[in-house]
Amino acid sequence: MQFDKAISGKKQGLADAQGWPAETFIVGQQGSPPDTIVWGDSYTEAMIPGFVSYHRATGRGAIIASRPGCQPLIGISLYQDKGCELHNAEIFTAILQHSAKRVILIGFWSAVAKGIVRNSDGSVAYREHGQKDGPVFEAALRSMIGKLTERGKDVVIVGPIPLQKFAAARVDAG
Amino acid sequence: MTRAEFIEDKATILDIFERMAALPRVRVVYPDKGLCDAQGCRYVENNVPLYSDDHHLSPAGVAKLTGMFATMFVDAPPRASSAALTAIAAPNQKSD
Repeated sequence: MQFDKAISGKKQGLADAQGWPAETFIVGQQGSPPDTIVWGDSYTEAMIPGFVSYHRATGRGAIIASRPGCQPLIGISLYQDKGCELHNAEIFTAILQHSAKRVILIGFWSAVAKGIVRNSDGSVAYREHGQKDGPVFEAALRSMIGKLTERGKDVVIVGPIPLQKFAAARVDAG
Repeated sequence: MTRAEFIEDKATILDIFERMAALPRVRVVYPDKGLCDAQGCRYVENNVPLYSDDHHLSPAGVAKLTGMFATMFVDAPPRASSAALTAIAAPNQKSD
């Protein structure tokens, strides 16, 4: 058995979220905007089936803003990819402008926590071989969360996923 | 992976998130609560993989997190303290 490790919202049958940046999707009805925004990387895409199931069970939907490899943080160029910084800035601005009261953050946190460092000029950057400087990551996350809560948003962080030490699909096939 | 290995592997993040959870209007939910037990964090259950690779959950893995999804959508007070939330939202270090 073989899975795609993460599948975009579009491939999972979700509609584009109207009025949102590209590659942002809606679980629920376009006419009644959800009160929840889910923002994150490929872990978010992997969890889309859970949001769809929850919507079917309760009628509560969500806006899904996900981009593989882009953990939900602002002001940081992740993995030397300026695209992440621009994408995250765009999503963050859209969140602040939206009436949603809840923001759910999902990401491969340990990947970025180990690589986010502070430059000599005080700016924050991602380094492939960072110093595992958790405090810099913590400060960046705390600052961003503060901006969300100041605007009246509740923030839910989804904690780390246990890593396995092999590819499950390969083992299953063997 | 055993639960102890998971907690050791994620110690930095778990410590940071515990401090985040103390902030007003912030909650943290923990997927491992639905994926791990005393025996460890399984990758397969009833011959169905819970992961699609070494760290992305499969749909079957996500289906193990029904309780977590419900918790995420709870309209919690700024500092949630109810037993219902604590069951999934409590930091791992203190729940084991």
